[in-house]
Amino acid sequence: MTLNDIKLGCECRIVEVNLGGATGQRLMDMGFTPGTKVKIVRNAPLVDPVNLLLRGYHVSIRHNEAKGVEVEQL
Amino acid sequence: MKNRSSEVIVAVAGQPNSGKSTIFNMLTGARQHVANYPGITVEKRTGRYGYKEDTVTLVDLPGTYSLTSYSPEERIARDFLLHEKPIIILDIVDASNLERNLYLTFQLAEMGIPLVIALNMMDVAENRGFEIDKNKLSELLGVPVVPTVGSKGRGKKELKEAILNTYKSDHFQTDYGEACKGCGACLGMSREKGSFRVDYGEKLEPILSSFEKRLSDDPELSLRYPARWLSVKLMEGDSEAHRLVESLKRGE
Amino acid sequence: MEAEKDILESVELAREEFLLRQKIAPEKVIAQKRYQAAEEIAERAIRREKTITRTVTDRIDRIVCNRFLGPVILLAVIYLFYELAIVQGYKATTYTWPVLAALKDLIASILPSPGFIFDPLLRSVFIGVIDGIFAVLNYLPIFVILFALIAIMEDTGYMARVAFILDRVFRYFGLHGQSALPLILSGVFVGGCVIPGVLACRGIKDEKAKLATILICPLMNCLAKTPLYILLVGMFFAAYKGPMMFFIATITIIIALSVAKILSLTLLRKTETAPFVLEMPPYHIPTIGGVLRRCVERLWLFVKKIMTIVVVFALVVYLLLSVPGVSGDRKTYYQDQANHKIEVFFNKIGSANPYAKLLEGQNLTIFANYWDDYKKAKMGAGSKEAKAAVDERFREKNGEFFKIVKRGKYTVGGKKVNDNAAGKVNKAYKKLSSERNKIRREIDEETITGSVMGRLGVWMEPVTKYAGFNWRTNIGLVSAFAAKENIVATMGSIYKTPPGEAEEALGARMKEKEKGWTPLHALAIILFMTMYPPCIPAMLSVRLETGSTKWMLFAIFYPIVLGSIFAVLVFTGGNLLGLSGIQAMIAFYVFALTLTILMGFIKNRDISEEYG
Repeated sequence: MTLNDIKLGCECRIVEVNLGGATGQRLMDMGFTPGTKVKIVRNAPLVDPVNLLLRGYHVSIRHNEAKGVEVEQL
Repeated sequence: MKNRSSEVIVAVAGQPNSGKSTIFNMLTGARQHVANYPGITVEKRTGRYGYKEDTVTLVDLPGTYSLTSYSPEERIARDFLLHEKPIIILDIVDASNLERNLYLTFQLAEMGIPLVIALNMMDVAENRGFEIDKNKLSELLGVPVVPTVGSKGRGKKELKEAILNTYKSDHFQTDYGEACKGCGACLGMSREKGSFRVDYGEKLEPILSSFEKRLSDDPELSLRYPARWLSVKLMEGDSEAHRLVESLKRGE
Repeated sequence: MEAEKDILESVELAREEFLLRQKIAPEKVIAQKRYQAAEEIAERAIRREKTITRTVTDRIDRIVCNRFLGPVILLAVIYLFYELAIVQGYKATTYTWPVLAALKDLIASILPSPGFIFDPLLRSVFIGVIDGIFAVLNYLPIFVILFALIAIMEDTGYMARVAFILDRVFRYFGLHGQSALPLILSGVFVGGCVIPGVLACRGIKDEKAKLATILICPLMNCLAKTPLYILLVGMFFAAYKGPMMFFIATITIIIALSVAKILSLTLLRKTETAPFVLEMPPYHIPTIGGVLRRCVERLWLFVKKIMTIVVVFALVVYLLLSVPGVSGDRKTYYQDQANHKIEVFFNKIGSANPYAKLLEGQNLTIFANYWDDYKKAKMGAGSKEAKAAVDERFREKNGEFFKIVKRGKYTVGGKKVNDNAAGKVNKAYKKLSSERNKIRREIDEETITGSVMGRLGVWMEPVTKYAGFNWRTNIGLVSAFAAKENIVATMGSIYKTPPGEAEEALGARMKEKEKGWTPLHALAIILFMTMYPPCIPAMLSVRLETGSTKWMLFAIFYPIVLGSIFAVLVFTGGNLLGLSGIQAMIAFYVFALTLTILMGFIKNRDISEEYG
């Protein structure tokens, strides 16, 4: 199950970040680590990108990137 | 002891949106100069302020979330810290975003340059309903922490004072030699081995320690780059760090 | 030496081993441990008194990022930007222009005076350069407002929301959500200014998208191009004014998006691209000090880095339009003409006229300048008091000349005098003055036509005729490179319209001169113009923001190539197919729109995902 599969407004917990290279590092730098709680806040008017809430701040990533973040539903 | 004849150069680091510019402006006022980092269109801002007979030069580093080698801003920030030898890093930490900001702080600390933290946007944190115990934070991190509200100009004097105290301290070390032994006399704080060291876990630490030793035994490398920082970066697979070692090997 | 080699090898080995044994990359562990430490420290240092789940920022974002309200608000903000920066900014220039004009006059008065039909070189060069510089400086109010608005956008945190809302659309074309603002400033739909647009690209983090945005900004609707559009549309598309203006307004963004896509697939393919991970900071009320500071900084940067070079270019452009100038023989010809007219003048007033002696030789030129200065000063004076002040000043300057310009009607010691002799001179000189201006204009036209630029225009004609451009058009377009404001003025010289006459007059004269022209001619010129680099300062901004002269040159040449292709396509193609102007316009529009939409579907090649 990935971030993309979580419904709007729901929370989940990160299991693993399956992205490498610059993208994976960037996500990790921003706090996407296993065990972190993430809330799907909203999609952009044109669906992409998606606004997330984690560690007390808001960040937006593209659905393409969200696809690479494995999570478990809370 | 700060070398009296040399300029006091302080690098100002921090994540984007941490209010770094505001603090920078608060400290330097109108005495600023904007240039470009060579080869790239990222602004290099330098400024000055005078405090108790000393003149301090601040160099504003690009705002970065981390210190990897993936983006030009990060590379510039690292480059400056490694090669221009500022004697202090002023880290602007967003109080309302502590965890994420500390991620950068740890990496800055690994660079072996004494740190002073400006705990900024305290008012925002308050509005969010939490308060940070700056003394506790300072104790845990082993570095001076000064609360600031950049947008209102609060903390200016205290920040300048903390910077002054740091470079005037008897235990001040600019080399990558031994860290402060931690008698706590200089800043009224107790610390073990200087500023906070991240524990990278029992699987990784032994490997890191062994590399650290090898690097500090190496005459050339130990002089140029902080051993701890380099060993962590190399284990991270950082391409720039790899390149730095390589070019040293080639005698550049 | 050995030790280092071993170290790098050892590290490689250690990393591989770690990955094998622990089934996870070392850098991931490192990142995780850092956050673990951060969490522990944060836990111990933070005292939570109350948990606020809904902050002000959240509440605002619910509206601003809303599926329906979001775009609406964005449109409103864009409209506000325009209203303030372009409309009000333009109004502000009506106040600053007189200041600049006065400054120019002041400088002109210090320079050597104009001759009767030829001016001293120093004067011509100086004024030519100043004209070029002031044309740009005139835009400063607009810049100031735009820079301030950008600073506010960034400081409040709204910029991130703009990127959030628009990213999807822009991404299809290799751009970024943050590309929106620079493009808007450069002129989407309504006329904008490329300079602040390009400077606004500074905020785009992704190198590839930033470069692409900078390179397409010059294609957008430059405000200064509007007079030419109005002129040509009025001449050839009078019945279709609305649709034509809409066409012009929207074709640029359509083409720009396609170009961006092509660039990102070809030239920019190897440029570093950053992952899209955008922090949405809490909203923040900007401080006036901060905004002002940023504004002043950007203005200063502009003056320092751009205006200094503009001075050089203004000089170069001036020279290109003047050198080699009128030949010796021709000079004699014009001088003879002038002398003839002067003779006629003296004959008219008669040798008995007391003022005749006064105007002999060099004095005639001095009087000519006095006359022009007086007329100008009188025009600039608003109130009755101001006019009286002007009179006083000129009376003091030269009492005798004053009598002439007043048509012989003046007061001496409180008594009104009717000086017939002076009145006669006045009448005769009026004629001479208009003859003088006529000769000057002819000299101007000949200078331009024979200049380097002019010859270039003639030389290019065999090729440009496929776009419907004759040598006169070529000269106009080439001279417009310096600044678009120039083009209508240059056209005025080429078509011998006296300065100050309305555009309809210019239009009528052009139509008269270019009898063979059809709407297709006009359409070709218009299309070329839309692509044409807006002005030198704009291209210098490109150099500033890309840090590379190579890109600046590219940004100058590719639009010209594109514009030329379009012009030829429309003109020759339109003629071959027997299309009317409006039909050709529609055909081109549909073509461009379709192409762009198709472009959007081509997959970007910059998303590299490594799984593992």
